[in-house]
Amino acid sequence: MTIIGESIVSCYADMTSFLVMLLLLILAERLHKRQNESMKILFHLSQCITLVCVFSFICHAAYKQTAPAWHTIVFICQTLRIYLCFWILINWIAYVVSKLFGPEKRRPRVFLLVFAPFMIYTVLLAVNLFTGIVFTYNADNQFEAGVLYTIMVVTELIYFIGTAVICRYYDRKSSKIRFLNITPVIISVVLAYSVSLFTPYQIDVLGFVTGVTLLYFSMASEFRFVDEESGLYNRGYLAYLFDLAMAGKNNLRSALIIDAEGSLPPVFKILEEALYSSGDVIRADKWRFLLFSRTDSIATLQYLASLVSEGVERHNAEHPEDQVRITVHSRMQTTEENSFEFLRGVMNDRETGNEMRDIVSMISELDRLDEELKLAADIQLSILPMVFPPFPERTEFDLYASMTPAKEVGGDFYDFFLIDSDHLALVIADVSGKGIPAALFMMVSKTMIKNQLMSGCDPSTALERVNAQLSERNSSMMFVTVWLAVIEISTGRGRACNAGHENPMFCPAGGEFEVLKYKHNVALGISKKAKYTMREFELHPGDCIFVYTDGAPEATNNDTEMFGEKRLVSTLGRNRDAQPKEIILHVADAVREFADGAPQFDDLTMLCVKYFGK
Amino acid sequence: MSIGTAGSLIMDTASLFFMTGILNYTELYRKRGRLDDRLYFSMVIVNIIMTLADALAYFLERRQMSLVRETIMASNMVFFASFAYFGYLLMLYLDYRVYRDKGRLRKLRIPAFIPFLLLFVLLLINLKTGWLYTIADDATYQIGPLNNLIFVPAAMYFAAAEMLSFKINFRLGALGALIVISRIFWGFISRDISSTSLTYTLFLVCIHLHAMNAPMIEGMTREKETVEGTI
Repeated sequence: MTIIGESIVSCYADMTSFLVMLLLLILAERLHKRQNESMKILFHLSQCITLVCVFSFICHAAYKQTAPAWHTIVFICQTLRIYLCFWILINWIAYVVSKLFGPEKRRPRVFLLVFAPFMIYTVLLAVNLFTGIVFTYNADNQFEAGVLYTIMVVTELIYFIGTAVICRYYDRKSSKIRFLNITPVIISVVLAYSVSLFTPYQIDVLGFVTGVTLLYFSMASEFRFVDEESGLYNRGYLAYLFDLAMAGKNNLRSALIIDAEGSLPPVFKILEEALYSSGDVIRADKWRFLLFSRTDSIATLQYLASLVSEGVERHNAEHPEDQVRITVHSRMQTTEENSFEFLRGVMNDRETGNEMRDIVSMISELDRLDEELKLAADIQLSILPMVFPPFPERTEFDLYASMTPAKEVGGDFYDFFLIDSDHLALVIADVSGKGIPAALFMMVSKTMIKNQLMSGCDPSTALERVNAQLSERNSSMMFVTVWLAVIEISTGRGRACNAGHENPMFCPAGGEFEVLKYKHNVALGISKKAKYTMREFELHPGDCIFVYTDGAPEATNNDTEMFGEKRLVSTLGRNRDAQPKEIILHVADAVREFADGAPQFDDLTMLCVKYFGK
Repeated sequence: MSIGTAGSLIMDTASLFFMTGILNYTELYRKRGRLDDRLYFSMVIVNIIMTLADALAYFLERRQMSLVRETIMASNMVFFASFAYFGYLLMLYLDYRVYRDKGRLRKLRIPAFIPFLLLFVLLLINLKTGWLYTIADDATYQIGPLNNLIFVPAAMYFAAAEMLSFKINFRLGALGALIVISRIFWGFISRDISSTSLTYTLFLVCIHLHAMNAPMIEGMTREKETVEGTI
């Protein structure tokens, strides 16, 4: 079977529509779980459209297919398709009405009259199966519309546009329905129907689908931030404000904290009318509302509070049987607070309702995590050798190292220790990622490497064994780059391995720092059976080795320019005759100066050793 | 107007509708300005550019006007460049969604950019050599001997993106695979109708719906970036 002519376009449109509706039905599950009536109707609408896509595809695919079986199949599919289009329209009207007039019992009776034409059309469709008064298919399986079909289509369009007019009217009267949310649906359906009427390409289903998808988008963004009962902003919006505060995009300076008692609908109305132009009123709790503002004027806040009080007085005077009470107090951001702390302070102000406790306890949890992280940072730093000079009695060499984490805990580490009286081990490493997971992996790796070297392994064997252990149960897929060397102190002869780490820098006595470039092996934790090449070298008195992690060359300034390897070499060159401590401190200063206040994104670790010989 | 042209224009218009909707209804997320938000909207913009270039190329096909061949040539160049660049952004976006590590992204973005760069250079060379495609005298698109190379960078990016989307959520990954399979299926129905921009649009719709339906308050403690920013 081959799809013929213009029906290819129609089939494309149907398949696309089906795929989009499938995405909607699967991914918008959380929206669908809301039990309100309008969402249920929209879900039925989506299901109807999905079915229409299938029937429509069959009808278009069967275009000009002459096999007799197709004639029956396509006639039935077309009938079901038209019938489902009625249901789509009925659901659409029901959706608009439910948004305007609320639960079923308040729906106006006129809605029942809307059903009448569609009941007639349903009967006509049933009669059409035997008489062909609405549509038929000719011998070539081509659709032929009767006069009644055109009348049906025009009726549907009129009803559809009619809902737009009603929405526009009510949009002006209340905020229950937004005309802007409905407009794309109307435009896409009218456009698609127009193309279908005046061209050979039948894409009316695509029009429905596009419109409904845009409606979902608008609802999704609306639902995320709007409290259904009050129409004000919800606690999700508070979380959004926290996000903005942390990103530094928030300049809220003051807040009104509003506590209400009594009947809620007048409270919503009073707050909306009094404060609608002053900012976003957030329903933080069943009876507590917040208004954040950029103003730092007490007079402005007092004025806003007076508007609320006047609204309450007016309402209580007009409705003595339905009294409400609203108390308002204000809070200003202090100079010691940043935006995040200010927002948190507002929510902690006075007694909070039960429903706010989850937000407050979450913030307390963040405070506790803060304390634990600081403790973890102290523990991590304590396991790195920090005493310099580490071996004051050894005059054959001098070394210095530093590790500056980007966050409280880091993934870089260095280590140095005497394996025996004549062998010095040097290690520098960089764990993938940052934060607590990297810190834990770092501590495990460091311990393993030291154990292997202390047991007498050469660098290559040590790395292979550590790699095998790290790769074995590495579900977190972390890895660590390592540069490791063991130097025989009496002779200056050394052996080094590089597992994916940055190239070391070497300065011969009286010479210049240069990058030692050679092929590296793979980092630890990636491939269980990786082998590590050992390279031998010999240090002479006055030679210096400088190793580092990528936090140095990849330090970035506010113009997103990187420090780079060349700049690092030139910085080292300016201090090539200095002692390791001066070299490292000088590099750290140069990086800090280059960054010029830009946040440090990666840990910065350096180790420098100078060999003097016996 | 041929069926291919009409169909392509219809698909492109539908894409533009979706893109306009996404831009319109997600203003709050653009204001927030997080890295994943910025990457997502870069993808939306690139897709809009690609769609417009595609629509222009199809619209001008077989028309006899001055500079029409040059315009179609340029439109196709923009289309193919956007075609690969979208994949690059999608891969970076999903990588950030999985790892939430700006440092990692910074290390990744330059090597990941190389396939796109090579394609761009090829597209420039193609202006002289016609290895990838040419525009005939009757203003129709003609495939060149190396035409398949155009799709290699995008295929690599999408393969990486697909693996990453499975890491975020199995359902998201499966739906992404479904979109790719349906694209291949459409190709069997008709090769004349361009559905690339619509395919990309479906990816964006998929990601947007998935993000929309993620719990909001939980995100404050769940997301590494947020925790780090707080602490």
